[in-house]
Amino acid sequence: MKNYKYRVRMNGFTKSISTMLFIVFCMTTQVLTAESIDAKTTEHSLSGLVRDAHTKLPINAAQVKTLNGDASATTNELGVFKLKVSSSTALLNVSAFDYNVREFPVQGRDSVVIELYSDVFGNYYKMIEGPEGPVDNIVTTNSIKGVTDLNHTTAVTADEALQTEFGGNVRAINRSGISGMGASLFIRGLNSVNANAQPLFVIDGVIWNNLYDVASIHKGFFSNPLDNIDVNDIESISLMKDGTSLYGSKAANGVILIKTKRATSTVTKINLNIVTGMITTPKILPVMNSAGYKTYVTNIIGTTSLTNSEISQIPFLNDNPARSTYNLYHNNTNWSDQVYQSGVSKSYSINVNGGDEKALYYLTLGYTGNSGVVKTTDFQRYNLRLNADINLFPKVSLGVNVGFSRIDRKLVDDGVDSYTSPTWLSLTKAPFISPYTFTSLGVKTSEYTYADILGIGNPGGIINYSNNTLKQNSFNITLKPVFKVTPSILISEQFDYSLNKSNEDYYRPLFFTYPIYMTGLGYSSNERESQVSRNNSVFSDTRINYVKQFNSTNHLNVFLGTRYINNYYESDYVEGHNSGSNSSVNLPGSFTYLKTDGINNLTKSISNYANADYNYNNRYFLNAAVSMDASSRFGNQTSGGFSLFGHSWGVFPSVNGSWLISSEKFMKYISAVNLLKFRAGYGITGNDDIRDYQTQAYFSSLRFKSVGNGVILTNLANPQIQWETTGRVNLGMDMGLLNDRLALSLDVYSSNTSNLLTLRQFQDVAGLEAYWSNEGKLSNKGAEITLNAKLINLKNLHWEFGLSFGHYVNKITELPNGNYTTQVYGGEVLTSVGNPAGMFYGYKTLGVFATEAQATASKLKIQNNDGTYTSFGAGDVIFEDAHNDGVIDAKDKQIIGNPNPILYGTISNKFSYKKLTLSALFTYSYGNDVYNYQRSQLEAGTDFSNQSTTMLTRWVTEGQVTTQPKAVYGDPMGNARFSDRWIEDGSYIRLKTLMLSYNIPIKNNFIEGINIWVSANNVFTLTKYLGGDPEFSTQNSVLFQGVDAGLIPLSKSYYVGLKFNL
Amino acid sequence: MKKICNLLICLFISSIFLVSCNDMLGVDSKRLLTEQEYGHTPNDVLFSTFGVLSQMQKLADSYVLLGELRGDLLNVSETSDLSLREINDFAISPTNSYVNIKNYYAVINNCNYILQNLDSTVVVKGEKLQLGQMAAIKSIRAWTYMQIALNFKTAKYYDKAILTVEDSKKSYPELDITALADVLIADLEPLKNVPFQDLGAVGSYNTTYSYFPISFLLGDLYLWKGEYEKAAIEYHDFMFKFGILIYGGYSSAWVVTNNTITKDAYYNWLNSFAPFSSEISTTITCPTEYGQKFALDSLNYQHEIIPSTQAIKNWENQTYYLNEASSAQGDLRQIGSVGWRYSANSSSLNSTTTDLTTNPYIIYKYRIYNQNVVIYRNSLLYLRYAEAVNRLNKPALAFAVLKYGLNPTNMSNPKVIPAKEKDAAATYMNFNDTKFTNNVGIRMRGLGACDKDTTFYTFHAQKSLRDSVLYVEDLIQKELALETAFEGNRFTDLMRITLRRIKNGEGDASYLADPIAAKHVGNESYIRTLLMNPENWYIKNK
Repeated sequence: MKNYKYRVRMNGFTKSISTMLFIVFCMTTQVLTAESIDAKTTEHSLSGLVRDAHTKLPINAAQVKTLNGDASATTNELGVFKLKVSSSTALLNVSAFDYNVREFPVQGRDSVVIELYSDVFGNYYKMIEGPEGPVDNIVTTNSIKGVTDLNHTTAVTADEALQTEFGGNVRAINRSGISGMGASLFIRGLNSVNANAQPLFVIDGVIWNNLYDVASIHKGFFSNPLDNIDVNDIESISLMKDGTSLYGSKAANGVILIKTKRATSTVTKINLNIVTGMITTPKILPVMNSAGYKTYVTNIIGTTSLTNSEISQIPFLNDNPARSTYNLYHNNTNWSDQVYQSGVSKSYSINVNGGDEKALYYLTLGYTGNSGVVKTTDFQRYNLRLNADINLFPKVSLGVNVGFSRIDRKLVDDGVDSYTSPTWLSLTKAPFISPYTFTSLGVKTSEYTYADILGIGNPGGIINYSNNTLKQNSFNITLKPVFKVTPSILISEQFDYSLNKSNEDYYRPLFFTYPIYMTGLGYSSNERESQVSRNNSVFSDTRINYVKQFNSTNHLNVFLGTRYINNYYESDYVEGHNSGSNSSVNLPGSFTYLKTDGINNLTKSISNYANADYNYNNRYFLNAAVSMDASSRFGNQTSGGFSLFGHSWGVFPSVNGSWLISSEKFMKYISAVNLLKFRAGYGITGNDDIRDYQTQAYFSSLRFKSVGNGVILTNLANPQIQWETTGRVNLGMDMGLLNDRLALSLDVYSSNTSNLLTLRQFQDVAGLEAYWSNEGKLSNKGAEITLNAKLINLKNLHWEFGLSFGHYVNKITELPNGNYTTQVYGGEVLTSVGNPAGMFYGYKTLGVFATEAQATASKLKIQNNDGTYTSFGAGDVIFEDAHNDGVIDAKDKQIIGNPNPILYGTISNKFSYKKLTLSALFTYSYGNDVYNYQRSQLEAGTDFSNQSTTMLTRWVTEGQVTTQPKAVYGDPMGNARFSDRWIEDGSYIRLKTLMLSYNIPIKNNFIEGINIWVSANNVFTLTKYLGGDPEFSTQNSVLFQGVDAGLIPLSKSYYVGLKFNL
Repeated sequence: MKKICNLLICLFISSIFLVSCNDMLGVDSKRLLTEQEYGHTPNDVLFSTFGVLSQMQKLADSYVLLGELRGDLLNVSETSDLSLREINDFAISPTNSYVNIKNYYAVINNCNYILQNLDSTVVVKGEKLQLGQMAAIKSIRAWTYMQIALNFKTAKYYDKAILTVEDSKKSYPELDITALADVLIADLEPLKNVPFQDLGAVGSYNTTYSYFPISFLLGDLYLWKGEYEKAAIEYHDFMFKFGILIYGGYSSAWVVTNNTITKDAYYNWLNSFAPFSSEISTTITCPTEYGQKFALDSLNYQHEIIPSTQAIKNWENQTYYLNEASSAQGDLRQIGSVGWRYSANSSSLNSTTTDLTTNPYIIYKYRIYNQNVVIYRNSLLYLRYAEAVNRLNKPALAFAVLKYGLNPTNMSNPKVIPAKEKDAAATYMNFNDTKFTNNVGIRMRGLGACDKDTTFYTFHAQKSLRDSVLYVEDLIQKELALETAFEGNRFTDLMRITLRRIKNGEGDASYLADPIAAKHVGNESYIRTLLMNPENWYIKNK
């Protein structure tokens, strides 16, 4: 406890916070005084009729109550109820069996007619799980969306379900076709460039470390922590787009709250879920067959410096069947057959819930297993969860959550990798080579052939001899005692311990992969890698909650608390090379070039928060929240926030308000409008995803002469480093029209992020390269619209139609270091002021020179390394000479694509006929560009690897008009350079899910209900995109969006599911 | 109500207090060491020293490539990458992969951190415990600072470790080589007689070669300053104290049968480069670690750096002297300096059977180095000594270094050292000790019995003493090319001599520009014009 600086800095920022706090304080006092003013409440008598919206028949035994619960009634057999409400602008909550809840404004009327809709429809009037527990959707002040029904999902992880459930409210992009990889998520644009831009996950009140930047040793794979939760165990998912200041420095990218299921009644219920499915092989870019490839490869050999005598020795060019190599090199192999298979998926889960007045419990056991679309790959998950609520003493209850999951995966490298990725090699491998060897008598064996003379491994051999696994164990336990001090005051503590351990093993086999040259060391013929990582986290959230209904019109809910997170991540990595045998695969064993590496990161953060919700007469709602955060990652001399106890504290306030206009008396004259709510809010949040230990000077060790240890200075203390700050304004509107047949929700927002993390070069004297500094700025503006219409509402037939749009415009507004580019998979991404993040930056092309004369006339040339020039010739690409100096060089680069979409979202349809439901959900994205890196490698025409069939149209003769340039070994003119040839329109619309479900009308003592359903995913996709699939996300980083690195594409899949309620 | 409010406020405030202890936010690391945790024990100093040595490895490539590619002896080839061409053409861009000034400052800053934590006053058994460590680290720091000033014209001088971003942004005095020399001399002088702390061997690498003998460094610094007597004294001190010799046993010689030169030779000169040779004082050991870059080896092997035509001619134009009757063309030091890529071992080399187009020269020195880049060795010391004493108007003494060898016999031979150069008071001329008995002339180890030669390689007093001095200085410069080619000192040696001559009004920049321009066939005039302005000798750092 030394060196405390009792110094409080006040700047403009803190002043604004003080002002906000003052307003909240004033409001609170006003509420307290309002108690006396409003004491003489006038009672209002109300009678009403509740009936079916279609048949207009009265509904018996419908529950009618006011939203604040001060009055309730039940309808009689004529559907009539009578109620004395305390306010003439009360809001009625009406529910009935088989019907959706409806909330109905009295609007000063004496009698009302309320029509209810069947519960097959979706509904706006529902409870949403917020940070403080379930709240009625109608009283929310911020932009929050919630789903509770994930009954028929085929998603393996929660993030995969977000796209279909939230549509345009979140930009969710499935990472790849590998099961459980999840989705990259962007809420309200791109809120960071160099730090994490993915939302915060809060699971049952516990903030998760989502390890977004943890690299797997398996190429093309992301180990998604959400894998550890079975979607069947999820009760609800809520998407908080603003008003997230409660989560302060962690909330700038939005917050996703996930709540797992708990028992709600003492009645014992058993649910059994069985799903089985089939995943088809993905769409693959067509590559040339033997004949086409042979012509191509002969063509390209002609452009090398090989002599004729050397060429005559190439075995595939010698067609004499008597030669020993003839059999091996004269085939027509479809290499994709060696790699792909149909995947099979199985999922079982059983849960039991119930209990007594002493305790309620929910216990679930689940298994999900599937075999991947690449041979030998699979995914298996076992999960167990126990959620219990125990009443310990009259005033003390205890919530207990225990979760355990085990994941086993077999993987192979994925994406464009010319050594080890079987999916990629199956495209580039020469089709005339046989996958299997031949005996001297010419009989084909079942032994895989080795890597070939063209430098390409055998994908079949790699798949069979690789040994790439991931084993993951995850455990967490939460204890949440709640003490009810008085009816208004609750004190609670939530403690959570979680451990997530994963063990990855990787083996690149000898012979079947081509040796990799390692600079300075020589060739690596095989390789073993192993990585063990562990994340354990201690989470504590202490809260005091004060709820008070002062009278019928004033309702206040205040809580404040403190949150503490201690997160430790450790990873240990080792690799070795050249064991000399495929049977010697243990490290260290006979491996050489051993290399070890690792990470030990301890992060601690504290957040003190306060939240106040005030509701006046269920018409005016106000929420104010503030959090004060400190973290071990923040320096103690930050420019934002204030300094206390030797630490810098960030302050993150927000104010959100809403006005339920539809409850106002004058609204009764506008009968078409049943619900109208305006929301407005402003909040400041932060992004604390900066690197650990940046605030201190530190030393790290390195190896010296293989046997010694040296220690050098590797970081200079940066006490100024801090969170990124995002301030966001939100304006929203929720509408229910035409007797609530049409629901519309509209949000517009504008946000500014400052203190963007940018990499700064050190001055020379530091002797170190670069450090992170908070300097840039960016903005996001956008809108989200969700529309739902009950198009057909007949007795047995219902049709609901939904539409959602998301739109954002991201703009970088300040970069103190100036514009810069980042290399991504052979391409270049520009970060520049005035443009969105992630812009593709390269050359524009204008076709291909058909004739030498045309090329000569253009006078275009390139400058060689030695300063001389080479002119473009016939068959070369015509690059646009933007700089207009006749030389095609870096000065001619321009923006050639934008990976950010203009619109994205979903279109949903749900038809039900009696007990049969058919739903069809389309997802779409419009206006986003894609850098097709995979195609850029398959149409480059620069080496011996097989190419896409487009290369059949390559330029070969003078005068030929084509869009595909000539094939030249090594590409001396740079025809294949990063240009708009590889940028494509990534717009698409696809039938994401088509589902038919049927409730089998069985009901007896044993079975309460059986539901059977069939579903098809990714049924069809309309797109101009040439790659496997327009939806992919290679990395979570903002700058890697829209780069198709050739990961396994999403493919069609079919499922059958059975659900028993016992 | 008020009560509740008070309660809430109290709770909130106390929560801040509860969680605000440093411990709640303090993070330690098992992998990283903070300034508080590290650097203060003798063990830490040891680890930091190895850390510094590992950072020196990053300078090895730069030292050789900057020192030689910019000179006249090493050239680029068709296969050279852009970074090498930039160095060769004096057009080094900020992204050059072999030049990064931060690598030099990384050594300086780590040295500073060690030095500020060393306590030179701790005395155990009458020995100042950490003084040897201090000398070792200061020697590395001084050499590195010299490299900055020589390559980048000025060096930013600081002697307190920079540990914060804020400190890294401060401005530090920028010193050129002469100003820097003053600071470094003051820093090193007190440690002149302190033996380096011996850290023993790390694997097969003997760390005693990791430091720069302080007398050698002081000699170099005085030489750059033009204080020749002090330089000569320092170089001589080093020779005398450690018995540094030009040992006759390391002579390459033709096998002689029947008093005639045969086609076989002994290439003993090569052995003086062997890893534990007594002729080596300082090496930078190259990384053997996977993932750490050491380019010289593969650049050499891939022919991205090749000997210039002039370098080869330098050796070929020398005359090997057996006796009055028998001589041969060529300096045997060529073999060992350059070699052929596919030759199994050096002694089987035979120039008549080698086709240079299919099997071109590689720099053989880099192979003998055995992954250690030699910085200071005996020949360089003697040649620097010669350079210093020559400028003390003792050209014959300087010439004796090249031709005869500084042994007691030669020193008292008036034909070698004429009376007018004798000076009993000049301690730097004292070689009257049996340990110098085996000293031979530097040339004698590649050119036979040239001490007996009166025909081919001779020095006669010129018209004036100044002319004689200039004449011998030329010979020294040429001898440096023959003896220390490709070792990294060429460009700065040319620089030093040229700057001296400009300063003394004895010549202009052409002394450096001409030989280097000659290497740039087809581009001579451009390079010459460029180099006629000494400003262009330095790397423009951004």
